[in-house]
Amino acid sequence: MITRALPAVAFIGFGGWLWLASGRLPMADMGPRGPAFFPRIVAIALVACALWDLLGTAMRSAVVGSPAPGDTLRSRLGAVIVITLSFLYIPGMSWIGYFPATAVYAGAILWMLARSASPGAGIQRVVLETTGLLFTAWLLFDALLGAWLPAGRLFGG
Amino acid sequence: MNFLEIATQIADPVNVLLVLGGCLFGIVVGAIPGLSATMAIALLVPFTYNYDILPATALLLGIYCGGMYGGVISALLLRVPGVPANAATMLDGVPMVERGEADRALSIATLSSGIGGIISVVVLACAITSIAPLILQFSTEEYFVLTVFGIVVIATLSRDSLARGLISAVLGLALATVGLDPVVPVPRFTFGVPNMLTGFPVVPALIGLFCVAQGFSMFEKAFSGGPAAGVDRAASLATNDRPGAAPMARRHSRIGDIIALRWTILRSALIGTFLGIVPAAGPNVASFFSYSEARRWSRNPERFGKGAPEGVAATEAANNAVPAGALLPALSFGIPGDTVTAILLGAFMLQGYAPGPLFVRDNPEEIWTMMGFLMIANIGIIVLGLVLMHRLARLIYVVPPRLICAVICVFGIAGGFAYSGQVYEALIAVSFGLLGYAMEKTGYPVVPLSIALLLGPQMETYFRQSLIANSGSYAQFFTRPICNVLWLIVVASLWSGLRGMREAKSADAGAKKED
Repeated sequence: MITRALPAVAFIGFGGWLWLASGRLPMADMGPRGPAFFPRIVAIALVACALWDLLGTAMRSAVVGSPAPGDTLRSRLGAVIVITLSFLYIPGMSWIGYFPATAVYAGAILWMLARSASPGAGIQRVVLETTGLLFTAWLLFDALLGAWLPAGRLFGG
Repeated sequence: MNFLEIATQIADPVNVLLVLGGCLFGIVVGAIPGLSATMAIALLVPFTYNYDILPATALLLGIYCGGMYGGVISALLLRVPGVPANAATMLDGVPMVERGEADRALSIATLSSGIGGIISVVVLACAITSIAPLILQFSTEEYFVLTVFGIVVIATLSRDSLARGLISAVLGLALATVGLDPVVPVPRFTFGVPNMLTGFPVVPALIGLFCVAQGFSMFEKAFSGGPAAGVDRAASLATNDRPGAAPMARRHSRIGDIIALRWTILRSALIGTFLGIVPAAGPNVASFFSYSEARRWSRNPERFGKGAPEGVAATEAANNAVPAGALLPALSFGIPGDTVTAILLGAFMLQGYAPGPLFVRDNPEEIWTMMGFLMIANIGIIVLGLVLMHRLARLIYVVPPRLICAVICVFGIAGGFAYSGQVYEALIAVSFGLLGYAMEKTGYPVVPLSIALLLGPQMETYFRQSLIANSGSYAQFFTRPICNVLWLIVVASLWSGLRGMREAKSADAGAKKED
């Protein structure tokens, strides 16, 4: 019940913050002309909907009791790993450049998934797939698109 | 309007190649279970940044149509619908495959998809020219109510909990308030970050919500030993098209089948086009509704569910008529009817288009060119589908799900910054990916958030402009006839959402009691 109610409580908190932060904006009390007018309406709507959801969750908790299927410790660990890697990938691009960072990021994802499917998975296949993915990224983003890709501060980019 | 110029633009070899290339990419991505037209568009949007407006539109519309069709291949041969709408096709398509008519089922599906799409483009062409004078009568009040209508209707899609659908929509509106105020130049909720002055960039945010979040979800499932892309490989053993098996034999007349099914295809295409126009109805509702209508009109309704070709033709014609229908509210009002049109609108805006009433009035050439591209895409579905369907069926087996997962993560994040070259936008893509993933895990739908994020700035501008013009009075929102009609539809949608939720709950309770 508490776990299921947490998002609704968080939305109520966010709605409350939105209301307070809107009040601190310059020209907040100018009615429809002021920048706080619309965010305040949104804050009220968010709190109202979240309270409705909270009420619904409390009523449902009497009927539903089991946790979500497939939500195991291992799957949570998987989610934490890929999200952490993705957030590290962004500063990584700025530091060591797009292609080295992508090699590390894609290689780590492919290696972990290969190992989870078969503990004896060969590293050669992962290297081959990572190289193929890097080549495709180079072809599409650099050769065809000419997109701006970070060269990396480490290499003077 | 210069029709020769329009024809030249449509027939430009580069544009034709882009439509067909997009169509092929859409078919391939749509054929991979777990991936959809939304994913296909989100992955390729970054590649359109450097294109001119028309080539970019050609590519995106090709992907949209191809993605809608592609799912039928895995639905019929793997018994895993590529997109949810294909579940209706499986009702009669799978029995046809089981009795050795795999090629016939796929041919009917392919031809019905293409023909259904072509019919819907013709209907769109007639509708958009006749609707233009009506749209121009809209003022800020009507537009405000229209944006409310678009968001609320999408929010009511969440059958499990209407409250959660609405929370998602309101959260999208809250995120849309970040940046410079649209009336007075005051920064809101930017925390002193200069990049945030323009608000959250829509395309990286949508790529994050639909592409990066899907990558996270696939990684999580694959890491814990589940089927990463929803592919149950064992199911494929039941089909006669697995690698090494005898090729699908063709013992039927494709033209003969289509002539026999002409009225079913026409009726279903019209249903699909109409339901495409209605926000939130989309291909799922269109497929099942046209299936039930085909059964109702059939002389042999008892054959449905046992491999009736009408069942396959009806669902696929309706499913592929939806894109053209969905473009009508998107182009004429700037209101996306589903996630794919939301991403399309974001991409159009990046290209300098401003979909809405003035766009329809001032850019008839572009509208007709888009319809030409849609026509080519639907012809492409027929040609590419018939030529490639066997090879595509085999491709599904070859690509390892972990590679798909890595491609989605890498290209999704890179797509976030390919337009502006700012790493900040990659951070937006990952952050919205995390938000989308967390919402999916906690049972909050992502679609209303994405639509509200896109429509939020317009909604606020129309609302406040109307209030300022009327000295703070709210009466004008309830005294204008078009506003009142739209309010009635909003209330009816909410009522229908509540009723659907209650019916679903009572059905669940009944099923539990039976267990």
